[in-house]
Amino acid sequence: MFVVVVQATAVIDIFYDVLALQFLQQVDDIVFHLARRDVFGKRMKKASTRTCFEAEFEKLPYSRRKKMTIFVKVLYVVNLMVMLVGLTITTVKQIRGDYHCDSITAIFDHHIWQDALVRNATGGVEKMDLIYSYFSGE
Amino acid sequence: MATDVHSGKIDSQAIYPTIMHSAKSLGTGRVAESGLTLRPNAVYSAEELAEDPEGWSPTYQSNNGASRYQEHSRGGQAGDDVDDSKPPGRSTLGYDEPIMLTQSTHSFLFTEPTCSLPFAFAILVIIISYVCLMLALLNNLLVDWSSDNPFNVPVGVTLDVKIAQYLALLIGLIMEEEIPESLYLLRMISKKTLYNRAPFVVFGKFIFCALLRIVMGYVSVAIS
Repeated sequence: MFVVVVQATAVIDIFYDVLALQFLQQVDDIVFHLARRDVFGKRMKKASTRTCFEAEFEKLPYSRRKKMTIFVKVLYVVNLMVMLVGLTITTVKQIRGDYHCDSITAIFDHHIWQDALVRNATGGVEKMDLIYSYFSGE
Repeated sequence: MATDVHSGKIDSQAIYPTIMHSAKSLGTGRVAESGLTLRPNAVYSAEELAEDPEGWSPTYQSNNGASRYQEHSRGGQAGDDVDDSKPPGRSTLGYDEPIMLTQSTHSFLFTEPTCSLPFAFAILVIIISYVCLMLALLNNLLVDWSSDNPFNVPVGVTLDVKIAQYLALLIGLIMEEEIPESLYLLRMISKKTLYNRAPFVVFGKFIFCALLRIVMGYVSVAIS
């Protein structure tokens, strides 16, 4: 998601891409519910309607899950911070112009540029016919 | 009254319309005056009850959440230790989220034998998901790749796009289900409780499956 977001150049593209990734993640849930409806055969239906999927598990006392609870909260904050910092660094680089190109390569076809103004070796300017394929641009 | 609280006897004939009403309107609710809470949980829908009123077997729970009974026939005994002072899982702060296994094909990895069709199906779904994520990643990175701009970031974007980017990160993190759900199960279900409810499940496989989902979540959130 991070790569998709930083590459985006239009608002709606961002949300389309995020939505598409969510869709990919939900494939397993959708297949499970289709299996329950006997779409993939009896064995899949039997596997997806086992009683363990409806069973409610006993909750662990808070003392035993306290560390894990704190860990989950910290993880959420860390995930968010990492992505926000990454996007901020990208933004700063964009503002600084780090992603601007260093050189431009122009490929011209076999055309002739007639009456081009060319600065000669003495500093004067004269009209010349330039053939692109033999013209280095200097 | 549908239930004799003191004896624990249940008049199924009497509460049947109440169950029908509950399943249709709310999905879950309390049987009037008895304090017993009907928990359909997709076990029986109203339509199924209508089709087969003889064979219904609603799951209901005592109010302290300690005992659980299955009623399989009309006029059955619910038990004597039904305490109807509080609804199940209800505290002064609100309801507790029921802890259940994730209804996903990934769960087949620990609920089904290794050499079985559902297990193979789960592997197939995982491969499809990972391959799609990797294709998205490679396509995003390798097209127009350069060493000084590996993420292929555009030169600049307008202010509205930049705001949308920050919001999309927040939205994407909120919508991401795999990581928090897996961690929730790991946090809430111990080896003992898993064995109590599903003795055929190997705890190591359960842990492996949760880790697999966490990795998938990170692949989706962080990379693709």
